[in-house]
Amino acid sequence: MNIHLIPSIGTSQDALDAERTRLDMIASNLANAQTTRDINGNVYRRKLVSFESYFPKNQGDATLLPVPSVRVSQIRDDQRPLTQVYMPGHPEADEKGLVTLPNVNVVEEMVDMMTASRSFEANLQVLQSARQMFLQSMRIIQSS
Amino acid sequence: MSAPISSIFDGSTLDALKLSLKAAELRHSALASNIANINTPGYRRLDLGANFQVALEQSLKKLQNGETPPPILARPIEEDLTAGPGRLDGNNVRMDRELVELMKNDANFDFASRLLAKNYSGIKMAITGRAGP
Repeated sequence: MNIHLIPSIGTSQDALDAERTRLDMIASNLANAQTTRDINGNVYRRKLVSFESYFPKNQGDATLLPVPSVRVSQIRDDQRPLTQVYMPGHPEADEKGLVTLPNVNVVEEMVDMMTASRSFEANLQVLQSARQMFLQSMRIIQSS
Repeated sequence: MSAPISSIFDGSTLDALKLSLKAAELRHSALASNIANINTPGYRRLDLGANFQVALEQSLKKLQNGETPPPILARPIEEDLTAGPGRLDGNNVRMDRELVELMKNDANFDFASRLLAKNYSGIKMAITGRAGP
């Protein structure tokens, strides 16, 4: 049974984890924006992270109601069409001189990165607020 | 006729403060869930239930008058039906709003815990005749 003195720490922990995973995938997308051959030999496809809410087992204080936490439901390839660029001299060019490049849009990734960053910071603030509540509760004990 | 010793801990002030603390802690878990799920498609914002808030106010009023309030049976955390339709994916959590509510809740908890601490140190001073540890 997980009983935490810091309120909702499980939820905040899950959220930081999830947003961090999203940031990792964004970093991977940006790093591989021009990758024509990934580990399977295919052109890199943008990775999409999906979140879902869930109710953890044995969450926190038994007297409080369970609230939904968050987790990554899946990491999948973005199925949007890959970009084709005319680069006849390129070693990966086909007979028409077209090179297939990843469907990573750098601007999109930057915006996603800002969202994920802000969400991460907001959850950090929740964690700090929870810690404050715990410390204030300690103050009640200290004063007596 | 004298009251039992434990009655010094039965003050309605203490009960009201404890109730406020409990409510603030419940609200924190709702806000934590909202901020955690800010990017979850289809997630609807949670907050203290409307019935619960009404019952809470009534209990605090009763305690102010020195009466014993009945236990609150309403569900504490529910979907906030006043929160609006939300974004394209159905998520209606707004970060600015949640952070402000978090700040307000923090202040409530801080206030109640400080008053509670003051109350307990007051009781201790009455018992020991000494201020401080």
